[in-house]
Amino acid sequence: MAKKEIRSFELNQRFVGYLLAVLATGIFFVLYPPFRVVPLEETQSQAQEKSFDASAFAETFWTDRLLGALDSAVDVGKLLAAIRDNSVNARQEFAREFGIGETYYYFVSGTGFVHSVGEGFANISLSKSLDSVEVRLLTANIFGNAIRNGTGLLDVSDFPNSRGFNAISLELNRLVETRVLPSFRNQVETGQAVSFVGCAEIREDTQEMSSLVLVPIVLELLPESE
Amino acid sequence: MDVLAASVAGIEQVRVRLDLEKASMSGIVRLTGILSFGAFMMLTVGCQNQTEQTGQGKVAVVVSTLNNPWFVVLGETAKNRSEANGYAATIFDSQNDTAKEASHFENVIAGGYRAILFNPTDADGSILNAKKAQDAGIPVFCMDREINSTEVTTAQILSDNYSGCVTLGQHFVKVLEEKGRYVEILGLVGDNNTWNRSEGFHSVVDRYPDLKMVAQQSGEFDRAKAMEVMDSLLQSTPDIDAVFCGNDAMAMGAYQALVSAGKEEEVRVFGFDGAADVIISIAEGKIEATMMQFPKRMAEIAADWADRYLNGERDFPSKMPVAVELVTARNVDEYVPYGKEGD
Repeated sequence: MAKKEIRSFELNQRFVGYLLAVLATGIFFVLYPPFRVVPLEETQSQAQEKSFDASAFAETFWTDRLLGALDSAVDVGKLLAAIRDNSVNARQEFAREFGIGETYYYFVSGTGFVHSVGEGFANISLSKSLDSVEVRLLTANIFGNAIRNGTGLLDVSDFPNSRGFNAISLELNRLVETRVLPSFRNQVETGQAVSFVGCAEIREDTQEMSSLVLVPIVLELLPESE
Repeated sequence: MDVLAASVAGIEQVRVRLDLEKASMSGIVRLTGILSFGAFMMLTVGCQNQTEQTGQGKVAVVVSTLNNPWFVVLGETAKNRSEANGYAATIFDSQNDTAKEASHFENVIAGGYRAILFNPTDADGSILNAKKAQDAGIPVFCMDREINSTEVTTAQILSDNYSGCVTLGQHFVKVLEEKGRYVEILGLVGDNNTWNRSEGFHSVVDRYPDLKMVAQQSGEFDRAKAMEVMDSLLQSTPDIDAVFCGNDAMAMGAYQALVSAGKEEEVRVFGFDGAADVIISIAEGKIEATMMQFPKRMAEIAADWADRYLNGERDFPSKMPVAVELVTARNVDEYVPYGKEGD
């Protein structure tokens, strides 16, 4: 009988020992998990956090550099005449290249008259008679790198991580959408005079373009007398 | 002890023992062992394709993986161009493993290579390897994949992935008529190309509220992995209209999964690369679109710049983006695998 009790005591002791070991292991893994499941979006945002603040950069760039460089934009009439004369020479003289490829950019300014307004664009004629459309201003969602690459003010080599450089485009486009386009969209009417500065992205395979498509940086509707 | 030096030491030992013990049976047994060791060590240098050294010295081509035909084209072109420029060239396969890549760099530095044409495995994880080469006075030229430092490389020749995926995103929106449910299969999460592609795509597609991404998962740029991911996604979210894949290998894997599920007619597949099987599949109407990168162009530029560097030139841009182009059924006849007709 005594032997049985001793055995039962030993079994209980062993059971308590196991239980404590399991508990200790459990607590250990709760405190120091061997792995952690992280959503892809989280890793992505962590990686972005490590990079620089593209929004702040774009804001400063817009105010301190871009608006001060508007005078370096080529006059639209001069550019279109040069393209009509010899598009290869015009590209060499006025275009900004970005890396190697068949895409290039023009930084353009000018004054024209609103020929027509459509969903996401306004067509501009350089003559008051509105008999042709030379420029199309984009007025809705802005995509791509036209402003970042077209002004020639930013160099990819200055950015160790291209993700940050690309994020600048996104932020510059957002500034166009929020600062430049809303008042223009609300007030524009056919026949109005408009002053504009913007960037055009040209792809070699779309050379037969009928008008210069511009992402606007500045849009100003002018009084009737002008 | 680095692998290359070990294999050379093994061979030297063989020579000595040949002289001393050529008549002895036990020597033959030992010799066999040493020979096996030497052969083993030479094999471990691994998955490399060595050519005879020519007058200009040696150039190393370190590639992230040779398990994807696209990188085989990149590596082979870099090697061939370097050889045409008068160098002996060797390809090292990192098998998407930064540790293997580190070992290759040690071998390259110890082996007296004069330049490295580098396709890194990880934007951050590969910086140290490039730094070691720089410290050893060996110029590093990145091809296709970026590392997050311009201080340790002479130049980085990279596809403009972001712009490419802005274009692809616009095409995606047009094809889906601004509405539908889609999944995204990402590449390696440590690679900048993965996120530049994804972010370019989403900079467009996210502006259309009726286009809903119902799942996003990594397929690690691997065809088999993407097939597995797509297979599993089709079970959890069967009702989709499109899949955007971060490269063509994954697009083919996703397409195979769609074929197995009998959904290849209703789900549009979009890739990125311009790989041979995707170009053929676009022509056959199986894959909707891809973005053509130009691996041959990038590899040739890297090889030529390395040559110019070794001949004294020092003025290179830190980054050189190379444009990519949209390939659809409309213009597929203008393209060939990994490039353009006439390239």
